[in-house]
Amino acid sequence: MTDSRFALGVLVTLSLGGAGCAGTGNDAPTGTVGDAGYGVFRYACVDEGDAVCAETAAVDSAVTRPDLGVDGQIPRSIAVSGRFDLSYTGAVPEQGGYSLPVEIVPARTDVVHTTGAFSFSSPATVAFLARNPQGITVDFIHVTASTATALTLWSAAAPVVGLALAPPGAETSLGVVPSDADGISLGGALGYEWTSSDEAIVRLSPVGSTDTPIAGLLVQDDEVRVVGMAEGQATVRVALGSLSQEVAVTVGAGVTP
Amino acid sequence: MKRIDGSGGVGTRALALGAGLTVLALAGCSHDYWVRFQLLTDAPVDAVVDRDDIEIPLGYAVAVRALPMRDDEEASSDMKVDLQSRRPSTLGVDNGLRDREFVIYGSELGTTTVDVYFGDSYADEISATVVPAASR
Repeated sequence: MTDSRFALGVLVTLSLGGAGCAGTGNDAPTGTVGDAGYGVFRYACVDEGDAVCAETAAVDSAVTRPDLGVDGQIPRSIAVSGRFDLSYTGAVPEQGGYSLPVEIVPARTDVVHTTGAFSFSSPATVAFLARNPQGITVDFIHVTASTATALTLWSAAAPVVGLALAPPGAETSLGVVPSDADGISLGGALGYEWTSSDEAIVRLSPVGSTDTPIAGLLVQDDEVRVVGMAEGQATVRVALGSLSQEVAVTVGAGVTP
Repeated sequence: MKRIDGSGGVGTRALALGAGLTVLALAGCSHDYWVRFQLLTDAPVDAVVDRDDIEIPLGYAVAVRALPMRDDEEASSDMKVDLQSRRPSTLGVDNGLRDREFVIYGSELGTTTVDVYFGDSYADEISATVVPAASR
């Protein structure tokens, strides 16, 4: 994009849906420049369960950000069925009186659902058009979706297969990141299900909660708070459809993973 | 100028063609009117946008500038250009932000025709195909 294009006109910010978590409150345009170069598309999380919008430091963002993006950049790929939103900020030359707002429209509606948020029903690359009501497409960007084939569990900024919590009452957080067959970390909010094999030993609750977790609570975020309840061993499992990943948790005084 | 086929909207296009030919005849000449495309965005390697053929991979979009040509020269610097897909559900052609800029995108697999207008006159038609996207 050239500076002159931005200098030509008025700055407009246009969004399909709700506020996202990425890059808000920044005066400088962040995100990914549209293919036509007239403005910037920004990615936004719409639900819990999107690895793009991590709330904890469980996942090492230095590892995942090249795929997931920063400050509203479009992820390299989005998980099939993952929900997300896009907005467009562009410089619209004051020459045509183009009416607002611009709508973000996928070029293919057979694989991209648009109800409340965007989601792909199958792997594809699809152009998303920033179009005004007169049918003028100001800009566009291509978004790729792929199938999640693996889940990686993270804790304390490292992939993890075992955890130690000491003493009982200690807690940590776990994060899960989906990846495709090429090992690319995927964006999009997905419906994870976290479970503990023995809630007398380990209980789970949403990240950010501070109370003693109650038994039987279903957490569907991409992150979970893990609390040791009593000495012993349990397995924490995260499932996404047919995919799952487990981590062994040992609770006790002076235990090591 | 190419022959118009016999698919839908013949009456309107024939009228437009007649008007266009009348204008050309009154000008006392027989010129070849066509559109020259300039790609404004990176295009997939299997995309084709030229005066004879448009091929766009399914789901992809390209931005182009369409220049009105008479024989081998630009017809007029201020002549309006319009492109219309006969089947927008297959191949979309949206006006771009600036005059003569268009965004062409593949919405479903299939074939159609893009009609080209210079000013208010029908000038040309281009066969268009939305092809399967290559695995990337």
